[in-house]
Amino acid sequence: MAHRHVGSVHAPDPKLALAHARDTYTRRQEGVSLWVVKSDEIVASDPADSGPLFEPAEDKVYRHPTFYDIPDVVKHI
Amino acid sequence: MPSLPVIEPKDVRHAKNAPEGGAFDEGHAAPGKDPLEDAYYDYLVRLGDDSLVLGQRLSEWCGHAPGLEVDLSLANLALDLIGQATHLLNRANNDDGDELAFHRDVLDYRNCWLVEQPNGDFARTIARQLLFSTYQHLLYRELADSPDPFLLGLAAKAVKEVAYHRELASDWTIRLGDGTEESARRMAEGLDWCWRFIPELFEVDETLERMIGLQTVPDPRGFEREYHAALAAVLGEAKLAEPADQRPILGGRRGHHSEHLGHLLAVMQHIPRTYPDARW
Repeated sequence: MAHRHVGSVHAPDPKLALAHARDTYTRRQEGVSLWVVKSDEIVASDPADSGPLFEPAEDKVYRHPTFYDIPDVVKHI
Repeated sequence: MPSLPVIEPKDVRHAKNAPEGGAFDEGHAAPGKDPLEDAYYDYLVRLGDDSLVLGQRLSEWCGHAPGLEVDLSLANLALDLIGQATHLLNRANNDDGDELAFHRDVLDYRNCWLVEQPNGDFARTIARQLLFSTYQHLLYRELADSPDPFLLGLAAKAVKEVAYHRELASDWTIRLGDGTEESARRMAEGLDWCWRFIPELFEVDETLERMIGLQTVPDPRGFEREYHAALAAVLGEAKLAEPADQRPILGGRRGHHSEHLGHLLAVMQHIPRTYPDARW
């Protein structure tokens, strides 16, 4: 199941963090599952490094499968 | 702004002669003639008023809770409860629950004393929630087996909401009881304040007896022991002593309320009463 970051909460412990996440971020049926992670246990990339980390991918459109024309002889794709 | 209605001597006579409660809003809370119909009406209104009044109380925290997350979680509880009240009061009054909510006076309200108690500090609000949600959860769990299709449908939906309320209130009780010296003291004081309102939750009067006799609703005494065991388990984990039993306070189901309910209704009702034709 795909999870994505939706926000952060303050809480005294993990159980209430989950309750707060439920109350804060699923009020409009946004989710069917929650993961809560302590913020100091997240290893994150440094925004200052975003150039070396992410920009090299910019000119490599051939990494998208849609870049390629599929020959008519290839079926079932 | 419309002026206050004129109260004629006949209104006063009528109110004084009413079998119970007040009747200045005659016609607004008119049950049927058949005793069973009356009992069913009363039962719906009791459940509805419990949810409505507690929902209104909790909504008073909106913008005032100790933190944004708590603000939202209390507002969520309030919305669940007001949703339940809407179904119950609509059912009791031909789909016009608003009339019952906004045009009955305090003497016609049938909620228990516990739910009308002021919020106090956060700990007292949690104590009230623990005592009520534990009761409501056990009650709705049983109601979800009712042969009455309306009560069954309502309870089947609400029992999930209420299970969460109970869990949240239990968690906070444990956090506060087993927290700092101050939080433990406040939690103990909150429980002490609310404890005397427990016996009313298990009181069986004539109305309830009729409904139990029809086997459409549970006898609350059937889960009274479970209720106390559940509270004892939470208090044990919270390292809190159970408050001493106090003189029980009864009467909400007959329209006898604390002075707090009138103030709550004044806030809740003044707009629809001042502008009866106002629409959202």
